[in-house]
Amino acid sequence: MIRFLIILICTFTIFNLKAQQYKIGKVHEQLLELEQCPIYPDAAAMITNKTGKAEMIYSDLDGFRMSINIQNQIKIFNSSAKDVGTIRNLIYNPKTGSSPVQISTIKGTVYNLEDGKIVKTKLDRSGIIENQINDYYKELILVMPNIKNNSVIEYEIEYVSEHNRYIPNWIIQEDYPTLYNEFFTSIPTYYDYQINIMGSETPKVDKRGSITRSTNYKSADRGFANKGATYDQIQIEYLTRRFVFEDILPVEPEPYTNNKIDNQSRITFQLIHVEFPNSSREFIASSYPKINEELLESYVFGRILKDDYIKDYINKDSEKSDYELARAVHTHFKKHVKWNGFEHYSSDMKSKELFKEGIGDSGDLNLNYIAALNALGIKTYPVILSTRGNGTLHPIYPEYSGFDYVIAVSMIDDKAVYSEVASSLPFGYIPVYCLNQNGWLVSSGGGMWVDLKANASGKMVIQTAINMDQSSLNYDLTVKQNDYLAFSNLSTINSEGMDEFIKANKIEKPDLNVTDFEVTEILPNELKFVENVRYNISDSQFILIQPFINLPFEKNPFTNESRTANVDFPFRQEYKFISTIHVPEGYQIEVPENMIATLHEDFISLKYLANYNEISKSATIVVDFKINKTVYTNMEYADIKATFQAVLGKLNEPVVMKKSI
Amino acid sequence: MRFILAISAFLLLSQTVQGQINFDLIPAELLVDANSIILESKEKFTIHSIYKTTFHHQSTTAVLKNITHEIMLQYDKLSKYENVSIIVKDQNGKKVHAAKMNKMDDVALSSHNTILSDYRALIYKIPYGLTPYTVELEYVLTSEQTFHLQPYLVTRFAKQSILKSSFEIENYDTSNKINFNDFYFGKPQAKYGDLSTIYFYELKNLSVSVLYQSFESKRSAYAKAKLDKFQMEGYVGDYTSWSDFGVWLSSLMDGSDYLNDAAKKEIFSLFKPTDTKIEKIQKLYTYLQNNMRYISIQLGVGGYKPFPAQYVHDNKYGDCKALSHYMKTLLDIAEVPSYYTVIYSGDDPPAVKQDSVGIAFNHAVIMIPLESDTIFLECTSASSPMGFAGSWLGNRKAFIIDGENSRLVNTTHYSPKDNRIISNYAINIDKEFNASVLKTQTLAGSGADLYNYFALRNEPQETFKQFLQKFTPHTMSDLEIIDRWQESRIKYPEFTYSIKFKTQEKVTRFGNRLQIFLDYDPLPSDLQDAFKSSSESLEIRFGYTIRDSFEISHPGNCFLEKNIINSNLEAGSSSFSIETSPAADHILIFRETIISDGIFKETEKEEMLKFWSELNAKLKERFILNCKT
Repeated sequence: MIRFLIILICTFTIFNLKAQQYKIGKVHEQLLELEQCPIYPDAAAMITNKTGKAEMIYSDLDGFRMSINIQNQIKIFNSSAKDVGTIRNLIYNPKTGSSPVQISTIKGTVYNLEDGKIVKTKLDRSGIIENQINDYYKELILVMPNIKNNSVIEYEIEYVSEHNRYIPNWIIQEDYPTLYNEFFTSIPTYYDYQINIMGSETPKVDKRGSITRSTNYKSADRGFANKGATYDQIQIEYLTRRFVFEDILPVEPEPYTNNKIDNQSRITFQLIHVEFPNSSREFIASSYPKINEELLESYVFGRILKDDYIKDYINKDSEKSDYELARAVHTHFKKHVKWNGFEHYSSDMKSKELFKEGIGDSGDLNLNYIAALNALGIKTYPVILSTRGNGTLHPIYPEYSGFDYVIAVSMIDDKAVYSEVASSLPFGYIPVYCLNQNGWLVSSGGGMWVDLKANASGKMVIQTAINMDQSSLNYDLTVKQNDYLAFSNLSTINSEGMDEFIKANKIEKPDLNVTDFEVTEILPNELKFVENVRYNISDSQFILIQPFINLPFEKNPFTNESRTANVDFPFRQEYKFISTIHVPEGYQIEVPENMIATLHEDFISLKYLANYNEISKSATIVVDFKINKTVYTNMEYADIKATFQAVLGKLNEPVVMKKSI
Repeated sequence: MRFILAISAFLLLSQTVQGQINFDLIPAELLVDANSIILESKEKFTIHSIYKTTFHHQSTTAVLKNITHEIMLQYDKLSKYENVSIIVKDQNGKKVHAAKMNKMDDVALSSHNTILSDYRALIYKIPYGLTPYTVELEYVLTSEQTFHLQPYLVTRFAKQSILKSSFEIENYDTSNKINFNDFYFGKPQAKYGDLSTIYFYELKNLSVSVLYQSFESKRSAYAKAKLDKFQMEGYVGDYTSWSDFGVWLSSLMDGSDYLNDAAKKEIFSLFKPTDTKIEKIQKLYTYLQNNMRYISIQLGVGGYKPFPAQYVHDNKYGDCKALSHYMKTLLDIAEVPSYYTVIYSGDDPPAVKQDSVGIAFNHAVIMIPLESDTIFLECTSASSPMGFAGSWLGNRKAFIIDGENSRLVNTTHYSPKDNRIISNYAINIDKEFNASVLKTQTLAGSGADLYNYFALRNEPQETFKQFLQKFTPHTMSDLEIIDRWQESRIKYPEFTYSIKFKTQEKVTRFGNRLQIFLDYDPLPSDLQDAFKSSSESLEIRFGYTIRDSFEISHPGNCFLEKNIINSNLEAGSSSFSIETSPAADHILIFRETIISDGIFKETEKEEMLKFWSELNAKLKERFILNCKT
């Protein structure tokens, strides 16, 4: 027991030491003299202490308000980190209307060691810039003064908001390493927040407690006596929680990372319910089934889904199959309404208004589209989701702020058909930015998760005929792209024109001369083009022929030694390359070795088959390359990196053609 | 003639009768690739005096494609909009939307780089999507400055064609001469009156492709005028000569070079009595780089007036103007003559001519005349070696500000001898055919821009390594930075680094064979851009010397099945040569490419293009070793 106590005391002391070592307002010489980050030696700067508080405060005049206080102490090692001295914050500040966020404290100090003495330079008024950037937000910029190599900067920002139901995410992991990160919350028991730690960091301290505060409040006048305002006192219990994290490495950039925010450790806050004394409990959110229920009853979701305005425009034609009818509704929406570029999952605009305006956000368009499909008897459900880059939805604890899009899933001939009308994609597809793990299907049956990538794939076939004349190799390529491997190019043609598409897709290699490029077929989900390319031969005795000159991957995208984030391909990909090399008279060809390579259970596969046909005097290489699984964990990174290396090595292998002796 | 004019007027009216678009009357070529068509635009810019101008815009645009159509009206603290009216009509001419200024978003034009400026914009996204529709826009913009006059922008959106557009400038300040830029579509017609002079541009039936050509041209795609005498925030200036313009720019700095005694004392403490002029410059430049940081805040006199030196000294930050002006103040204290200098920083500087005074600049630096030389100091970079102008400042004109003595000068010229990329590769191929490479590369002049090395020279090792891995066009595994150093020669610094890595791309195995590539680094991107350009002449601003030596050792059981043949190429002063010396277990290669700078026209251009094409093919050549297994 004594031993246990000693260990406990020691542990407590170590944590306190760390906090003491980098205490805000107490910058010591050792820190100013420090030349290297102890946990990440190559860092240009490190955060020595970042401490935040989210406290709900009560005043008789304003009621409960959210007070957020952020203090940050940053040590700079060299000039490339001087950008940390410019701190930019977006603050809600509507030009008209009410409830702007009130900034109550701005302080800043820069510490330098000059002639062995610590010199403090305070942030003065000229370094505090407030810039109204649009009708709703202003930017608060702190330009810290006197920053040099080895400076330590400190700043404190405190603001108070009437939006007491929202606590912003607290970022634990930053672009620079962090030695100490603390966050404290103090919330009255009337508000029940679900607090989640996202990412890989675990707290060194996670301490819960409670505080009771006496608060005076003005009560209504009492009866006929009208004695004026009187004050009562109430005891409010606040639940507190304190987190401490230490020695956090920075976030590193990695290719094929879908949601950067998912890899950044952070604390999120979800308000579950609010219940004041003598009032009924108001549920804000608790679970996906609960959100499901609330959305269906909501004015901005369920109400829109019941709209049958479409019947005025499209009749259920018994001649048409459900698929054809759904496609007709899709076409009708695409023709008559356009997306204004804003992403949303709800709407306050019913169909009549939407068709009158001809424009709306993705929520307006897609919820009305779903309503139209249902009105015509095609069972269709909304699926709410988080787009790529916006973060992955938490599997258990939902947050309304996590959703930013809605799509349709129709049940047609017992198959789930995904569609939406904001993007330019044809019926039966959802845009790439929606292919982000799972979405929540909202239905009266309680809802369910659906795999957004279930039907998402792309295919590309490149057929190449290679002929040799006296001085060159002539490549005749026919490229056919389908579905998700065609959409990006189809979109370029549609929005930027054919010239831009050709400019972006024509082979651009200094040793290859493109003699012709023509698009031969454009369908809603398919694109076909032909390209003729000439390559000058320098040595006609010994010719190295590159059978594939238009590979989708130029080099291995995976170069880092290791990785923390998942590798996330947006959709399954299938490539087929068929190259036929015609062997001229007087030459002989060496057919490459065949190769079959797979990663695990066909997650990624390559089949490379080559043969020579004596009758046609030609060698043919057929390659099937497939990426069947789209998400790989960091544990699978080494395998995927090696697989890509091997595949690209084989695809870049030349074929030897020599003059016959 | 009158009859023809009457018909034209009738046609124009009938194209938009009550806002209805009649496509039959729009020439077919204007619809090709067009997202929108300006059916009619009338703009009138009135110069009342150097203190006041008015700009009246009226236009009707047909939006043809389902893209977001956004009205953006830029302004600053010296200008304001009035009578803004936006009317949207459907294809039948029925009014479906109308908006005034109060419905527009008022946004700051700040960015990641510029955190604060005087520039703002009113923005309105057309809330209508049923194409085709028309947007009728009208507004009046008044301004209290004449430093920048309202340009004739011709189009405001990508892929826009023009049915009819006109721009009129009426100048009531008739004693104040007005000058015009080299506009792609020519000069305006002038009409001289007693009270005013009117200049008039009119454009008709311009397709998207014709307008695209105007943007690709060396001439300006928009028309811009300037007055001989102008005013901004009370500062009256003169564009008549570079000297006059320099007087105005000098006036913006009057009184802002004050530094208090404490600051001066701090600066004096940097020097020893024995310091030479160049040592003083070096100490001040190092002080600037270590103590100041670049922050872009573009406020005051259109963003042209620098912060006072004392402000910069106290706060330790500023934009290019503030830091350059501060550096000049420090040099003044050290009694080193120097000049605040404005310049165009970037890849493709516009032509600056002695006879066309104007702002063709976007940056400020310091010029210091030495006994037999001149150096330019880039004051915003914490990493640039002293006096190194590089590809962003070198080989161009700059304007030094010195009151009446202000003048155009040439910046440091970096010739092919100065711009060097010298690489040595020791490639070892083991018995398992794994290849490890020891690469040592020296970069000088604009050669250092190859991977932006000078910007990286103070970065930590890990950052340098990550940068190499990201930007090197071939994959390097087990990358190790062995060393990196710099030789600090003024104006001509050299940066050398040495790395070790394994490659599976530059030495690849197929069957019994190994193919060995020698194309590790791409040719400099400014050369690639120059050779890709569709301009009439080929302009190479920076020439290069690129020298590579390779020592490839391989297992002795391999024979060289395909050698790279020794060869030479030549075009004018540009040349290429490669010499290979194969032996039983190794190959030695020496390769040199010299590309001369200059402007190449007609046959010279053809010759250079041929050279470039052959050079690229030569650099792609590879060895084939056939190895016994």
